[in-house]
Amino acid sequence: MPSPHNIEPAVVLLVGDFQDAFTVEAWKAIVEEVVNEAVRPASGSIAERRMRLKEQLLGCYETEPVFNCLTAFSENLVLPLPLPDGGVASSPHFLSALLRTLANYNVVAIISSGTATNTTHLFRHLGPLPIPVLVVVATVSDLLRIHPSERTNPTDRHATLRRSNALRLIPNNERQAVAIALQAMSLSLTHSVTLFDASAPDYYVTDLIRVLRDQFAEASQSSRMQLRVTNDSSELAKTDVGVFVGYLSQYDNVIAPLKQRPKHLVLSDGCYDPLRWTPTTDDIATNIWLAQPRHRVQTLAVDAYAAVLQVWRESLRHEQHPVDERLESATTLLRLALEGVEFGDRYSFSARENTSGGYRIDLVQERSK
Amino acid sequence: MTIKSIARHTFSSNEPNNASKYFDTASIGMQSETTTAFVNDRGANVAWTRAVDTVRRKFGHFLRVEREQNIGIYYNTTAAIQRVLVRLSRLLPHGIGTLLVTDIEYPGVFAAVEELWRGPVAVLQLSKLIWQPGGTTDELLLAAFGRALRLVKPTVLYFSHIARTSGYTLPVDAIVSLVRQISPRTFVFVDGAQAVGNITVPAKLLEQVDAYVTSGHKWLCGMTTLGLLYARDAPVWGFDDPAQSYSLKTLSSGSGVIDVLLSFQKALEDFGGKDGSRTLQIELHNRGLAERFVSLLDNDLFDVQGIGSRRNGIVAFQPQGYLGSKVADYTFGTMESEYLRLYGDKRFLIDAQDAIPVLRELNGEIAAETKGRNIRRASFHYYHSEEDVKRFADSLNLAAKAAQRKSVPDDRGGSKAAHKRSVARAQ
Repeated sequence: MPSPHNIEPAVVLLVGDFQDAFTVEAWKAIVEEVVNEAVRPASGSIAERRMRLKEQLLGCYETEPVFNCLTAFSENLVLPLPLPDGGVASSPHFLSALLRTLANYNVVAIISSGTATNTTHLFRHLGPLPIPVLVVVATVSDLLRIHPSERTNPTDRHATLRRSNALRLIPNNERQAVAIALQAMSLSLTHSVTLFDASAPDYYVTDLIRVLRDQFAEASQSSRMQLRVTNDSSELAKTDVGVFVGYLSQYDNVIAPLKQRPKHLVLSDGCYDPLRWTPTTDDIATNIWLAQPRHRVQTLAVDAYAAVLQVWRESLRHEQHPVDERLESATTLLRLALEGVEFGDRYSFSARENTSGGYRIDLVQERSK
Repeated sequence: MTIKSIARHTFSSNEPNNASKYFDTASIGMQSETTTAFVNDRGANVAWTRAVDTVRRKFGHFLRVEREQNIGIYYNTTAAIQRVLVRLSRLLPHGIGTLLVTDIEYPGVFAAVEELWRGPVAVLQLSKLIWQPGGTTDELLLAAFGRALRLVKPTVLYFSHIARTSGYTLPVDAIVSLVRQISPRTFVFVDGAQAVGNITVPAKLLEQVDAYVTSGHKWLCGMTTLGLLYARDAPVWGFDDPAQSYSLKTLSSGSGVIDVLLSFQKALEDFGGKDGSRTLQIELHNRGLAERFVSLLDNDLFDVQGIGSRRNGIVAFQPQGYLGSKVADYTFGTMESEYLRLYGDKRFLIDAQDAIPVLRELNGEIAAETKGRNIRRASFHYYHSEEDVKRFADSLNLAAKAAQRKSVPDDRGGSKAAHKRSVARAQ
């Protein structure tokens, strides 16, 4: 690879759909961080240089131009490169781009801000390659678990295997389900909550609905609380408290057009879009409660990048480490870094899942256009 | 260049069977008469601990490394490799790490990997590069290593300093430099079984890699068999008691053979010299003989794999099909029957030539580089002379010509001339 320092730069890939707000927000946050790291105070006319570099990087979602733009700063830096999955990580085109990138650039880690389904495809494409994947958006607990069916299913074998090299920075669906269930129960005066199940073929939706059902089933043993599940939107409209699990596009197609809506509607974090919603305290016809992780995608993405940078810089001092320390996996080193004091108390991993942070439910309204 | 050796062996072209031993395919060197005498004349009571310690000290001196206590002694090179793999498995978290090897390694290494390595194994197919028409270059090999390292980020990289079949000297320092750039933590494990005693191995290089294994009975011409390991980070290896054959503790000495230790001590004297000039002299001598051999072989009868400036004392050559068993008498047979086997779902191949890499899963046999290539190999040691080499080449050429005259078709489809005629007819 070309490099002014004749040293091959380390690279971290941001994989996701750059048409999607989550990925764009993650990219912007990483760019901000890398610009600050790249243009250090000693380099003179800092503000101007930072601004120029930032302008070059923002809005550029192609791997090679970003690499060329950053190589001048490669010394002691991990270069973030975007790798768009186009929203379809299962495509041969994406697989080819991924493998070409992995062979041509020194990719030391991948930050995945794709959907759960696309992250699963990413795992599958990576096969047994031990490159750590830091998941910052996809919120499905099944991603990182091994199911008995997968152990015998050869097509899922590598997706399963890859999980040992994955870290999910965003909390899992069980935590979200607990937050949604508690909120919905506290709002219900009739001891009944209606869950709209659109039966979307998506890990995220099916997994969260499954965990929500479990939560209500458990609650029903000690209270009169009932969960009604429907795929009829008009049924949802008649209810006091409704829960919608899915993505914003589904919400816009199915729920938003309803003339009559429940008094309270709790939305899962799949509906989160910073451009769409704003916090409110107003009491309006339908109170919309939005679940979202305590730490936003920008924070998680920057943390992921900073941890990769920290571990890489430490790796460059390899000769100071005895053999047994050097044999530690990159994923474990990243986990230990994220649990360090530099990252506050945002991360505490159990196996490969972050159990710290959790979810909050905010009352929101649509932003005025 | 003439090398003064302590004892000279002889080669007679009337004894073809002698050639297979004299220019041994596996590079097993012949013990000098002085060494043999030294072993035979030893007193009845040679202290075991002292013998082991002396070998470490003398070998450390030979390698010009500062820490002779970082040297471990084993039954053979494969045993040393097994020891490292076992130790690494113990040191690895959960015993799992990713291993990157090449497909030009000794089949016994694959067997050890298959038995001892629980994590993913990636096999880089270097043989396609090395055996391509016109040979390969360091640049192509480094590019292949670079692609594989970027893809795999191995916990451990294992490769040979000199490819045992083709004799290509790999650019170890450049490969290590690449590793430190791409995957700095990777444990670099180099097999120098065909290197030490054949070429000069700089002490600096031994400090750059994490483990370096070699053999006492190949190019260093000690008695069979002895494996040696140098590891810069010695404390994790426990060399005081390597647990295989050559323990420093007398009571647990296992099946170690004291004659082997004594033989090796004495054999090293032939390679001595404080400044390393003797090893450089031997390197040039071996390479000179190899090049001489290549120039003497009839190129109508033999194809020699081009390896450019990476030549050392090894020459791999491919007799044309009509030679059959006639040449086998002189060359220790072929390596046709070699195979590399790896099982399980975590083993995969990386084609060194793919621009866009494809991870090909493998579960079973990989074609060894020798497969289908009818490769013979000769080794030129410090005790060979130019006259030896000439007699050997002449013998081979004569045997081949005799076989050609008879035009005895063999299992490879007859003579080169006959093949040419059949091709012409077909056209």
